[in-house]
Amino acid sequence: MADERPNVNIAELVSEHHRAVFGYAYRLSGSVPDAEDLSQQTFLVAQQKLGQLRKVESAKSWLFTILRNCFLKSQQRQRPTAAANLQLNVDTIPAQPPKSEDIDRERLQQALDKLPEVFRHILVLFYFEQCSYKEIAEKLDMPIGTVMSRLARAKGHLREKLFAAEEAQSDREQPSTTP
Amino acid sequence: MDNRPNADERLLEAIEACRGSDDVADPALTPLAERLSDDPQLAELYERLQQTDASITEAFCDVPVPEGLDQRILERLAAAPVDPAEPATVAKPRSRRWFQVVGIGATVTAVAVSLAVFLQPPDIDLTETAARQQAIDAFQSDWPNNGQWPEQGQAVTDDVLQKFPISRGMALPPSVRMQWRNVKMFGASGVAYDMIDRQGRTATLYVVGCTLPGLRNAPPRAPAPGTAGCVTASWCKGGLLYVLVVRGGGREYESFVPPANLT
Repeated sequence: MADERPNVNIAELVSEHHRAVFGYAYRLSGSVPDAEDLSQQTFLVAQQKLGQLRKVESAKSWLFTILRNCFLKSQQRQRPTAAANLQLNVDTIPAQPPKSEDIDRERLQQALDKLPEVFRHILVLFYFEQCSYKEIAEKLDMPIGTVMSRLARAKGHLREKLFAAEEAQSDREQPSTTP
Repeated sequence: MDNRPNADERLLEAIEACRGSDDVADPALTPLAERLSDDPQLAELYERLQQTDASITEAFCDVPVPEGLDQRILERLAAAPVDPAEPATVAKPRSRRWFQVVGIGATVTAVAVSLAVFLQPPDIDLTETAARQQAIDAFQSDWPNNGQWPEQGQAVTDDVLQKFPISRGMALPPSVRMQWRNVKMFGASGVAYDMIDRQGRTATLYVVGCTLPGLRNAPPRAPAPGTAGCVTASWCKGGLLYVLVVRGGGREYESFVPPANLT
């Protein structure tokens, strides 16, 4: 029986993927120290389970899966996030699509941090890992309809925090016509 | 709300969930595709959402990475390959295929690995996984060119074999050629038996004068998962720690540890 495992070593994985792993960890955890801890933990587990990696090209996705599991494990020891009352809201889609550089990174993270964990996971899978809704359903072991519903609501929440505040501020900056 | 397209909630959820033409082409979303082609307002909303999502995606992935992070990760990996506080991270046999091939042997190996981690005495700063990783690193360095003997190898003598006996379970066939050399590993002295079989497969058995609690006393039927294209096995016998590194996988391992020789 031939051994089909790829010949990779952990140092190569770190070199190639530490940036993506850190970014993913940061979006999930919302803090730089936590993200660094999570990144280190991810590669520690990866080192021990390297034999489970079947294809070099799936290494990034495999690392993300490890990362998600590590994060979930760490979250179980913490207080659960309060559920937000999320509504489906396509009105938050800006009339003029924004440029990436116009999106406030800090506000983006703050909006993410306010989301219940499962919604945050879905958004990170959608925007960071760029998974389709079917892939998200598979990774989270969730019905497709549930993924669609939660994804739509989480995206609406994110846009509201990102763009509605800007519009309100821009409204406030308009000269007032009342005394 | 005035210009919101006349679409029901599920349609809007589907629009939000789609990330491009591939998703819209999904037969499950045929009603959405039809609506998009029939309803210009909905199509305009969809386009706007796609553009907004593209910008958010870009912002989402734009995370500054702390300087030196990769080095810190590598240092931590080198210093603590296994975190004993995290039993879930203990290396286990990889797949069902191994179980089909070696049956109960792999389970025994996993138990041995777990025991080695949990029963590690505090005065020995080494776990079985760390020992195996060190052995792999040494093997990689000793065999820079696969198939060429490591330097400083000598013909095996009875004296060496008496001091550092090769486990009976290995019972190497005559076709395996072997040399030995002195090594210092895991903080102890010992020898390395370098081996090449008739097919050119290579392996090194490190035998050093220290022990790790919890290890079995004979070579396992199945190797433990390794890295860098190698598999490993470790056991303790007679006050000696044995770590076998074989380049390749299960088949190559069996060349040096024939299952028929294991009881």
